[in-house]
Amino acid sequence: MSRNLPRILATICLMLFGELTLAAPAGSAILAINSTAGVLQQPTSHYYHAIYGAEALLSTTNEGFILRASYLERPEFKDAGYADKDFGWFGQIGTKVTKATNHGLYAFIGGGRMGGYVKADAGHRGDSGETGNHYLLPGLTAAMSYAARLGPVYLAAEQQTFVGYVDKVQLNAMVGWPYNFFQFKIGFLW
Amino acid sequence: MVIRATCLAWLWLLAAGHAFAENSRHYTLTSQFIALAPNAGGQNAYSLRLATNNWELSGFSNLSVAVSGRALTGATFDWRFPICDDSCWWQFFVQAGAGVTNGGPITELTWGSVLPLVPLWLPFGTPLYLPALRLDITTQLLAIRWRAVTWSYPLWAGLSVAF
Repeated sequence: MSRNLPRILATICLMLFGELTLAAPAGSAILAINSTAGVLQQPTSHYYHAIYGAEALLSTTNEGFILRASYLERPEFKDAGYADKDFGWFGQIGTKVTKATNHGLYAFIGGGRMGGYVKADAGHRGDSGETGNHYLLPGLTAAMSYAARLGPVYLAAEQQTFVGYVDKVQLNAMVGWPYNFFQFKIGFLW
Repeated sequence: MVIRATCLAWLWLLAAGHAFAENSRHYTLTSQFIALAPNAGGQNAYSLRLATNNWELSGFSNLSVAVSGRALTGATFDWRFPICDDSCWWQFFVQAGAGVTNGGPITELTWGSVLPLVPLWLPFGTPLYLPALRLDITTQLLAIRWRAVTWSYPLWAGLSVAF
């Protein structure tokens, strides 16, 4: 299975995007570098936390196939002897799902990691001396983005969901770890 | 004899697959009944959906989300944007929709996939009248008593039948 995995993935990619990527002129591409800002909702909380980040996006000119790498973080929040923060990075493939030029809806899917910590200062450590908790969670991510081009300027509004990995025990218990991100993006494209 | 019969069967399936692909304007009926959640036990969330390649009409009820003591229940209309529609053996699509619930207005965003449970159909379009596995990652945005609530279905699974 593992030996055949690249071949299976290549076949799926070819089925999904092959027609579109082959239609693009050879060697043509779009590169966009964007900054992002928005809110994050954690799995176990209904509060919205401010986040910011950056992304790089490489696309065929017809936007049939897009590669995207992104990073975002919630700034560290300090209060009452504790500090906490979340961050994540993702790699995704995507495609445009509407036909209009210069604006439209885009779909992305891929994987990544969400991480974070809660730190306690010296006066707030328990008897065990623990300085805090860290986590790093791999998972699947999917996003839907409405984006527009104004000359060299790239603008987008996006909703992204990250679903953290669950082990067999958690899956049997029907547990999932969803993170939601709502972001606005602005950048430049070439 | 076996080889000849197998070749004929594959040729027939190829022809049937192409015929389906050219007429891929079928309806799909879906029932979803398994949903994960951050708490053990998942969500008791159920939906019934009728879709084409371009839209989906759904009714849903989530017993894990209470509005004034009653299960969140609503109906939505979604515009579907297929990445691979029902001419593919494995469908991928995104959906954006809006509707009403007993808690207030709702919008929802979905990343969905429909995967045939019959491997014989691998190279062809979505098989008719046969159950397929529907897997969604759905986010619902609700306005309940002037509060914006985001509710996720990290995995919402069910069965689909195309007809």
